[in-house]
Amino acid sequence: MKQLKTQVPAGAWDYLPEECAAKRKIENEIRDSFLKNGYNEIETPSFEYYEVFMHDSVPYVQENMMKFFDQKGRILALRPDLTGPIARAAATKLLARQEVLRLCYIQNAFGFFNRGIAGKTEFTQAGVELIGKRGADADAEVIALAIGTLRKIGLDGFKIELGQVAYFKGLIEGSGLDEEQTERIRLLVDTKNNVELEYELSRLNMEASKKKALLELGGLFGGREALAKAEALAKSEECRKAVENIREVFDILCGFGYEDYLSIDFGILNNFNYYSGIIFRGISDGIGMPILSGGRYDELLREFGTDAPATGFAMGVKELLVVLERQGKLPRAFGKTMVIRADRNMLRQAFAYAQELRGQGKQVILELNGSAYDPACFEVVDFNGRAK
Amino acid sequence: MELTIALAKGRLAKFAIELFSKCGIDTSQLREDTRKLVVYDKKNELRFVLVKPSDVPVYVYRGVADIGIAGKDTLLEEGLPLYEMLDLKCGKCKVCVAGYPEQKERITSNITRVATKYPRIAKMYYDEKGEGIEIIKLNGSIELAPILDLSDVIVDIVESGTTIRENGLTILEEVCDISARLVVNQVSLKTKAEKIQPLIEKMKIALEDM
Repeated sequence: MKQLKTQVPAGAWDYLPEECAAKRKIENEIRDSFLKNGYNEIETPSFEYYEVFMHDSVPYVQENMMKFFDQKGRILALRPDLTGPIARAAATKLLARQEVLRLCYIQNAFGFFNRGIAGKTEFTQAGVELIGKRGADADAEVIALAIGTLRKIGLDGFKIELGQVAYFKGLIEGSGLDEEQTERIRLLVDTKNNVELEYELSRLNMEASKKKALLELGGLFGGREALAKAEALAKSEECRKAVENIREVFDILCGFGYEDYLSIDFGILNNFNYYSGIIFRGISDGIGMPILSGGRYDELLREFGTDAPATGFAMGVKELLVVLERQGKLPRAFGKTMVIRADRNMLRQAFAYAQELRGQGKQVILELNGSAYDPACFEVVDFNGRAK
Repeated sequence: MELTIALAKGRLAKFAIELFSKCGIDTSQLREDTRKLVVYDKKNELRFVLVKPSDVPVYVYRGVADIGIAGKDTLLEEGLPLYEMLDLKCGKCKVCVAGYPEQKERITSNITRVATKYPRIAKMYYDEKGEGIEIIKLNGSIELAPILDLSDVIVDIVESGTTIRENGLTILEEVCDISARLVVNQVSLKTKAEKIQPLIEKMKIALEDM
């Protein structure tokens, strides 16, 4: 017989005390950073009606979501991210009271994702959503918050890569591509697969200048100089606006002193249907996959009945833990726990003493049986009746 | 800054070694007949890891290797997000559907049974056509499956088509073209740009006269 009771399901994860303590410490620092920047925490249910995640502007596929039924046979889904539920709550409950919302969360999301480091069936995301504000200053605000937060938890050698989906949309607009062709080209640009992109484009009837621009898109990355290259490459109004938008965000962030943390890549086109403007992700030395991703999604809230622009990001907490450990910066949260060994005829005094120390913030175990403790992890004190 | 390169053991590795030599890389350790899985070009700060061909995408995706050389078939089969930056034009072949041109009529079977080493590619291909299939995963000698009536067709890579023909099968449909590709980890391309970019440029030039 298979021994399932001794295992966790694929992609699920036990956070044992040491890792759990480090996780909580980092989460507390992240939460503190979000709150201090004016983002208030929100909690939504772990599951929602399936419809919250299944409409035109979501990046999920049906088979990746964990689903079950309610008593009436309607489909429920465990949330694959927090942005959908928060957009729902904002559109239906908050925007009537307040025009601009700054919300944050540290919550678990779920799904059958075959990617990521430690399995991905249940994973903690920490993120913010800035709803009701358009413009480069709003995007720069959340990106600055991401950088500030990563710095706060002690991460080194990371960069935020900025892209702009409107640039790609501007390039292919009016070239008569159908949805399927657009998707194929998007995927090839996103994976910097110029070999196949060239072949794909050779079969299409499209202006030569546009083809050239699409072929160069994957290589359009680097520092500020990428902006000028992008501008020279495409003249359409939408493309020009897209470049202008990144430049504005870039300039604001440089103004904050964050230039070293920035890079640009016009070829980032993941979750293309979700995002409507600037798009970004965090990368770091020591981990081969993004630690953070975000962008502007002005079309999502409309799905829930209130039209409002929005921007935000989510960090993968497990990814942060792994990269911090690889950089030797994982907080060691454990000090020695104090053990007070007392005799039963001194219960009152010993208990009062333990409570007093706990009140001072110490971690204290009151031991009445005289059990042995490992001195490597515990500081054992024999209580003799007088509080020291 | 050290760069880790994942190479598929076997035929592809031989080609890669030639290509890297032309790029001025010291491949002497790679040419040694050894069982070592990790070898170096210390001067250029390169580390080569020799892995099973179908594992190359996993090493690169997880970032333990920065770049890798793998067949398009394994890239499609693994389906991981990687930058696919060069076609090395080696190991050219096609993924095809092969079988008997005339299908036996059968009352008890109304979906095609597909034997393959590449369940994901087969599923993607038939999904695109909107056709439900039964996949029979095999690890070799795929051509046997229709002969023994284990399956109706096979989805496999075809080079010259000799094996297919000699076993009395016909190529029925072409699924896609295959060749060796240079893949790059999405983070490494940026964090190790000053090492990876020039290497890719050198490889491009070297490929032109190979």
